Amino acid sequence: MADHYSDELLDHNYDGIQEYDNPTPGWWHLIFWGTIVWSVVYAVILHMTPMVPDRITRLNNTEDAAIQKQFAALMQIDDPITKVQTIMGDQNWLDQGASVFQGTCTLCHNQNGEGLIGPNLTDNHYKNLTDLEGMLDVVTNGAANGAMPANVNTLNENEIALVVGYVASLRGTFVEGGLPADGEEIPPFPEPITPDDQGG
Amino acid sequence: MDTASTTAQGSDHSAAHAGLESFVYDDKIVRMFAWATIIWGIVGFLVGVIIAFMMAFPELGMGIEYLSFGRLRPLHTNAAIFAFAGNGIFAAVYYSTQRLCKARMYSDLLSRLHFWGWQLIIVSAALTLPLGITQGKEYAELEWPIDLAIAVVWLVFFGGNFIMTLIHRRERHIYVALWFYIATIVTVTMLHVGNNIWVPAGLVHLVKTGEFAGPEFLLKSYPVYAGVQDALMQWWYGHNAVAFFLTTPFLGLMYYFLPKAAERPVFSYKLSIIHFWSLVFIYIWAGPHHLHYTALPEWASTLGMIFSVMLWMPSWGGMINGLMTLRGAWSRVATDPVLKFFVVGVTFYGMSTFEGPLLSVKAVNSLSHYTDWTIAHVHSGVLGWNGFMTFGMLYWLFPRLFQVELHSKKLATLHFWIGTIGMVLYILAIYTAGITQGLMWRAWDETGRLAYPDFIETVTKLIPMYWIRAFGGTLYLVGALIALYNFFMTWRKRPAKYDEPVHYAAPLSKNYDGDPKAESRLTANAGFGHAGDKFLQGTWHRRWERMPVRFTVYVLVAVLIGGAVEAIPMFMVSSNVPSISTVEPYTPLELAGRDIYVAEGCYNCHSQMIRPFYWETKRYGDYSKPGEFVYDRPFQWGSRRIGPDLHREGGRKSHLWHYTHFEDPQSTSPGSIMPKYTWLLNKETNFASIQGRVDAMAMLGVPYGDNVLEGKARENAEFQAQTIAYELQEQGGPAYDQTWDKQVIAVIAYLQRLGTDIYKTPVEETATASATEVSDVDD
Repeated sequence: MADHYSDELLDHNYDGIQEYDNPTPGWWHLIFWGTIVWSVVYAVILHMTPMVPDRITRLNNTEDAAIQKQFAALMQIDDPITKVQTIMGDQNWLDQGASVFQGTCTLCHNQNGEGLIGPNLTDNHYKNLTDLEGMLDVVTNGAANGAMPANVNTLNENEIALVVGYVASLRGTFVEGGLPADGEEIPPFPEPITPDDQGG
Repeated sequence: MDTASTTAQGSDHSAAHAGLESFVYDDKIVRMFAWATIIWGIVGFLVGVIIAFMMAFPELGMGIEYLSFGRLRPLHTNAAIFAFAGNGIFAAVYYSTQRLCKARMYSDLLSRLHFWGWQLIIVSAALTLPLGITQGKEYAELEWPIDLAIAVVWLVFFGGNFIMTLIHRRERHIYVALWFYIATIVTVTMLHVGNNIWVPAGLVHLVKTGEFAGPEFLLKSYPVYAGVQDALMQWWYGHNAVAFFLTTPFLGLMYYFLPKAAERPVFSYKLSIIHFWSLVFIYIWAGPHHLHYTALPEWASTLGMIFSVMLWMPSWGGMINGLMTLRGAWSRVATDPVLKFFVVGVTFYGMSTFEGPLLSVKAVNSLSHYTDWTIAHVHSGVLGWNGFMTFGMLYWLFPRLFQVELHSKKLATLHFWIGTIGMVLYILAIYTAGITQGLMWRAWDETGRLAYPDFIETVTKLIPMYWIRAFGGTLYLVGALIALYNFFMTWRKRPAKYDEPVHYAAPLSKNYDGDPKAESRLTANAGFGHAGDKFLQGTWHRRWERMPVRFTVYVLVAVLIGGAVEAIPMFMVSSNVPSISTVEPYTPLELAGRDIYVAEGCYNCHSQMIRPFYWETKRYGDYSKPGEFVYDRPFQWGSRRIGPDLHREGGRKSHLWHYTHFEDPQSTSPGSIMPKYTWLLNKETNFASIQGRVDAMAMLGVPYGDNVLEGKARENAEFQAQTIAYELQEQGGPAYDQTWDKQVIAVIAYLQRLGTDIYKTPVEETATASATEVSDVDD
């Protein structure tokens, strides 16, 4: 391999190992000093100027923007029951409710709400609640001494409404292989409010 | 034999043997370490292959607690690092140091104590880790009595023997390989001691009360550091174990064995100097890059990142000197398996040390952290660099140690190819798995929904990759078995009696005036400039090279700086860990449950650290804050999410869910690769030890109230266990009198507490606080 190194031997000899007096390659120095300069610039910009917001601020901004984007329409409805009815009447909201359900509820209520450790949500029998208001309360604060966990710290208000809307929509689907009915049969939930009802 | 050619070399005396000392190298100790290297290597690879198959096929553990992934994974890492690489290093050091110093090791006794002490440590690791006796910190799992043994064997037997050999050397200057050995010995001692300062809870309890609460409790210790500080110390240790156990000694190995095998001079002495000092100085700062976006303060994270980036060229200095030394020997690489192993080894070193800085960049790390990408990175380093350098060395050493031709060069070449293919399959599969899973975790759509809200979906996707990885690992193991066979057959042909050539060399005279003098090459009239130019010529370093003790002190100073700058503010400045008033110590039962969590090695698969990213807070809950970990000894943030994060697990699921999940994870979570933990349902909680656990925590400053001190901890724990067992029964679980005293209840107590304290109301009415109240925690 031909190269420009002069390969001058030093008078070093260790157990037969010799060493050349070659210089360190120039590109090595260039990159080494480059990384040092870059490091200083990076640290100064990040920590000593306001150019980059800190990571918590960035998180909060993302969360706020996401909530605005996702829930602006829902947040205009004050009455919680009306909100749930609105969700029940709109497939788009129901899909989002299903997503919350996937992340939070399926471990106990199974993939389609047919019940596993928690009861079947696809029949007309319910435990610990008699209406939508009760369901909001059960999802938020839990029930039966922790058998149903509280979600007040894990889901925001809108997500709770979404998941309640979705669970209400599961009623009467009687998914095959579901757990036997448990609890009391309760009166039907109020009708969904579809986008058309709102005169849209 | 090439050793014969060095006889009496470097002597200025013409009269044969006049004024010379005679000596014989101790090659028996090298033979012992060489055998230990290949044998422990196979054990380490085998355990690795077993746990790799467990990822694809979790039932492999057959429900036996000693074979669960959480207990075997530390056994694999410890075996690979400390048994395989460790013995390999020692073989290299004992062979090369004697020849580089023209001196037998200072003490044969210390050499033997070192060898047998180290093997005993490995055996005790292999016994204690499957028994769940662990400190719960990665690569520092071994409990306190073994820690003490390591300190003595490493520093006194090995370090003492080594430095005394340097002092009694007959070669004026110490060669670059020895610089790297010095850095290894000094820094590993510092790291090991620094990260293993603990209170041996069981021993203290035994001495204070005379009560013996079981052998596993006698071996139990708690670190003096908690939470964020413990994390910083652990990764200062963990990263620099990579630096000073898996890098510097192997660079030393390379600097001796590679030019020997290639029969070529080392490319650049100047590069050796500059990359040695920049490497040892910079490496020590890099630890915090393992903790990006965690509760570690961001300034420390930034230091970890920028020093990792600056480390790129110092690392590559070693690669350049290795590969460039092969100039003129490339034709021999095609025929010589030793050089083949060295070329691939050094190339993998170059790739890993480019990838390391890349992964330390925060943006890249946000994707790679907690995924298999890290695992791929580590394995390209250990299988490629450490493994292949070790094998190359062993193939070069065996014929010389056993004074007979290698049994089969063909088999050595076969080993090279099988190992290389296995390694590439392994690494590519795991890269793919890591990047795939990282991208799945962070995917969310414009409506703010996670694309894959169900964690298991991101695991089952990887299973095909896990099969390929296990296959690749198997190939690597097969390669090592071929090596063992080859070595065994070589050994069988050894002579009846080894030839032990006697060497002669003059002792070093007290006076030496051969130091090179630098002359300024500048012509301009500038006093400071002349001094600078003389400095740049580096002749001062030649002087250091003949003063090994002073050299050692300089190395110590270089490696102390980075750690001190990062650690001291973390302990002294309270704003680094802002306290949260509602965060309270674990109850006695929760503490016992936590200790079981640690013992089972849950941290090998579950993190407890939610990073401040939208996709993480959406999946796991509020991001983790430094003040939440002040009672965590050891911290359990984890480094890999084979399962989901557990920091906000408390209150998320019912006791019954947890109970059922431990009994059969697949029943609650179809597709889960978590093994069954049925023994938690059957084994009793060690209530007798709970007082000792609480007392040790109190000794460390945990503010326990009087209600659990003075012998009341057990009662407190039993009451809480009965309460939880009763709730479990109410939820449809088994009768409470069958479960309350079992380990599963203690673990559930701990899990239900995790991450919940920040939601407690700060006022003094916790007993009546309802779950609907949310405290205003100031972020």
